[in-house]
Amino acid sequence: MSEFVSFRRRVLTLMIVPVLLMVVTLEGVFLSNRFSDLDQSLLERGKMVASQLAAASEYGVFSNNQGFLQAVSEGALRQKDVHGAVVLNAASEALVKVGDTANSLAYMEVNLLNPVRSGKRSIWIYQPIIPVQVALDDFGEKPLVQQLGAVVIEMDRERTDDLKSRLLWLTALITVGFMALVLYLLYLAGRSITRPISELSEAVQAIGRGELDTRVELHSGVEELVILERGLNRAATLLRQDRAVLQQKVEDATRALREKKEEAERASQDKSRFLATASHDLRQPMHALGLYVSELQRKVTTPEQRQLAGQLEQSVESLSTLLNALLDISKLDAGVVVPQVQQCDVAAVLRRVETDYQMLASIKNLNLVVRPCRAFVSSDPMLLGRILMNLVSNAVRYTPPNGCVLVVCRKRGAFLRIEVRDNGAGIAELEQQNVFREFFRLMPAPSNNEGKGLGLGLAIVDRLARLLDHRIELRSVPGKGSVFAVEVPLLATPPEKPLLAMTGGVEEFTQDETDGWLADKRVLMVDDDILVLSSTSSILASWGCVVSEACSIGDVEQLLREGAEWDIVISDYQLEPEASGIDVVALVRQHHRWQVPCILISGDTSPAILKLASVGGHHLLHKPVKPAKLRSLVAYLLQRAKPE
Amino acid sequence: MIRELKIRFAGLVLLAALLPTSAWAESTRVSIMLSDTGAAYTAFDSALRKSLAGIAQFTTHDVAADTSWTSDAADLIIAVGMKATEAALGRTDVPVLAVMVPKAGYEALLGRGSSQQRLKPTSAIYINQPWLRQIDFIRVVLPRRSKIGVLYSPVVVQRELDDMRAAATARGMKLHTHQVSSPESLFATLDTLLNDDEVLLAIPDSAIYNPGNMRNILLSSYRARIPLVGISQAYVTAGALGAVYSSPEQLAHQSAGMVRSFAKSGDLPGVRYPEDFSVAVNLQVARSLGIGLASQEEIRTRMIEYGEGMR
Repeated sequence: MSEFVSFRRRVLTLMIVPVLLMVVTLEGVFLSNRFSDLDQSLLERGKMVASQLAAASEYGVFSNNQGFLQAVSEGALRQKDVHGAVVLNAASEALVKVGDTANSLAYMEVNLLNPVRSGKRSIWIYQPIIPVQVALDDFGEKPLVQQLGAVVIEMDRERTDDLKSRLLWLTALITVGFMALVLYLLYLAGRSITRPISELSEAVQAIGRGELDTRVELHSGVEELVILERGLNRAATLLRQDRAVLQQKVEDATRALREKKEEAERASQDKSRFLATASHDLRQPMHALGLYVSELQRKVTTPEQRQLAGQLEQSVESLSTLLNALLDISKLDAGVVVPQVQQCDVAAVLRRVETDYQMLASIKNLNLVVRPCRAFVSSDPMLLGRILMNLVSNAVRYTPPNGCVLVVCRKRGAFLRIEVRDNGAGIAELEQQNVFREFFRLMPAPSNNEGKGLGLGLAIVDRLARLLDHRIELRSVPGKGSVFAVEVPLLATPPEKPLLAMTGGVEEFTQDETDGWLADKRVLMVDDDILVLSSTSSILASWGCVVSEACSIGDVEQLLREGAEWDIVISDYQLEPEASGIDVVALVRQHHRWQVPCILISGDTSPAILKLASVGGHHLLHKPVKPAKLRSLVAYLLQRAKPE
Repeated sequence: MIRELKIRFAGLVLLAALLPTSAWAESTRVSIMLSDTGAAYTAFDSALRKSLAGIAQFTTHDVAADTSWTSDAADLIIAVGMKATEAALGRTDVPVLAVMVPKAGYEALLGRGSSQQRLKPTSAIYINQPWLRQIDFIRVVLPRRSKIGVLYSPVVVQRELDDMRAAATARGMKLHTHQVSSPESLFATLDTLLNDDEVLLAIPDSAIYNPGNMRNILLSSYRARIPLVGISQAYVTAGALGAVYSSPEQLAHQSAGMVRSFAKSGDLPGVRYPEDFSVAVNLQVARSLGIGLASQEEIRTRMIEYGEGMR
């Protein structure tokens, strides 16, 4: 604010300068007049004294009566300001000198032609002594009037100067007093304007800060200020009302938004609950169905029965695949899948893909080639695996026999580009955007019934890639083939220890290989679903295992008290009420005092469960579990535990 | 004796002038020249015109105002006062009668004039009173005082002083003359006079008796309690004890006689003192000085009686 002249100062300057000029000018004129009057008065008095003395001295000079002149002169000396007097005769010789003039010759400097001489301290006044003229009848020539002599009076300026000086001081004092009064009055008058203005200014700033309750009360008599005050107060009132209305609106909108959000959240929770329920409740019977069909296959004897059982198994397989795909895409859409991004060994993922699809490819008489790649990326290994598996599955499905499916990796800057190539029918450019939509299938569909897809594979790939923030690229020439590529961020430094692959280390064993391994093995099977429990027990028994069944952790405790012992524990993850497969395993291991191998089976695919299972070093299988997979895992675990 | 004869002669002339002369008088043209338009001069003018009404033709000129005056058309010029006399004498050859002029002044003017001027008929009536008359006045008014002092400046001729002393001696009084050689010595001389003498008699001498000095002279004489006897009524007004003088009317009357004489003879009588006179006294001054005075008429009467008696 310093570069702005304050309002008050400007008003003061405007008012004070003319007043000051006027006062000083008037005082100057007054003083000048007064001084000149004083000087004039001194001179006049001097002249008067001189002429009186001259008149009184006439006879004294005529008669040369010095005693008389002395007396008369001293009389003159008694007059105010008279400092000295000299009486001269016609020859300008001093007859009498009185006062201070007696010691000075300054009186000689005045004469008839220069009757007044003004010195620094005195004024000398010359007055000729002209005799009083007496009228006579003059018969002869009239003689000239003759000067008898002269008097010189010295007037002292001291008193006049004192008076002047006093007058000057008094004037200065009055001026200062007057100016002080004027300043004070101006200050009062100025304050009556500037104070309300600064109050207004503060009020405006307060309103600017949002203090809309601010009101101004100026108590000013100035009309414009009163108008300003009213205007400001009205504006503040209006602002406050507007703000209240606005706040109300915002609150309403917020409330509506919150309600919507809560509604959406409720809907989302409903969906999640549905998904969880669906995945659990649908998998349960599917799981049991798969196991029963598997057992059925073992038990049929005639070729007719065997063919029927084979078709049944194939139907169950298709149903299971469809169910899994539907649940997967629902979960992805619901946003309940949370990616576990970590350091990820691409080689392990590729190995799993190859393992899973080599069989299918050879059945279709395709050449599946997975080029090994030693690279580490930042991704969720399970979800990345799903992407690649779906792509490979898609390629295998749409590539005619004797074709080739190639999986290769290429480093592209900070990314690893994993490509799935085929020399199949290819995709027309118009269709390339549509292939990622749900239930979209390319026409013409592959002829063979076996490889018929659901049209969900690429939709899942698209959703997973978006979830992982990986880019998916499709290049294709109809009739020549397609290339699906996924770009995954590379890790700058590979991890020191090898990563644990979820399914890593589990060797696949054929039924024949494991046949002997399962015979007479004691197995504890725990599941709160009777159907699943009996189907699983039944198939385990068909493999030659001795199975103990339990519906709850209470049943397990009962069996342990009866002295039961097991070589392996297979448990459902979720047991009722409020117990889990982990608790069962812990109980058994505590009782047997050794690390009894265990398998957890869960209908729930939530990441929390996966994490709990991996922390405990348990093997987790998701429902529906294929019997072959279960048998292979059981055999592997028993084999591994064997050396003890 | 000679003086007495003169007076008698004057009386004869006066008688002649009073005779009826209407047959010739109309032809006399008189031009009156006034020194200025002062009260005394105009009073003289009107008194003269009145005396000679029907006898002479008059024209009046003011010398001070009318400097280009000529007198070709006049038989006689009557010059009133010194300035008019000077102008009249210097300018024409018309006979001139000067009136109201001091004796000393008139004589000085005549002495200065050229021979041609001296040839023309010229006469005068002095303003001065004859010394005897002055002495008679002192004698009547201040009978106890016999020492008369006179101040004079160097311009006063010795003969006048001698006449004065003679007149005083004739009346049995002592007259001391004191010369004032310079204006500065006036007071000292006056002081001596006032110490020695009993009466101060003024004479027509403007070096001493002028308006500037008059007051101081009077003041000094009062202090010394010596009365001053003046030479005109103005002196009495200013503070002199008294004076013998001739009024303008008295002078005009005397002048009228001279004009008649001139008209008759074509020549002017000789110069002379005023014949008739008045007396003026200042009673206040007399009281201040402790002098008892008779009335002016009585004084005049006594003077004439005394004069007659002394003859």
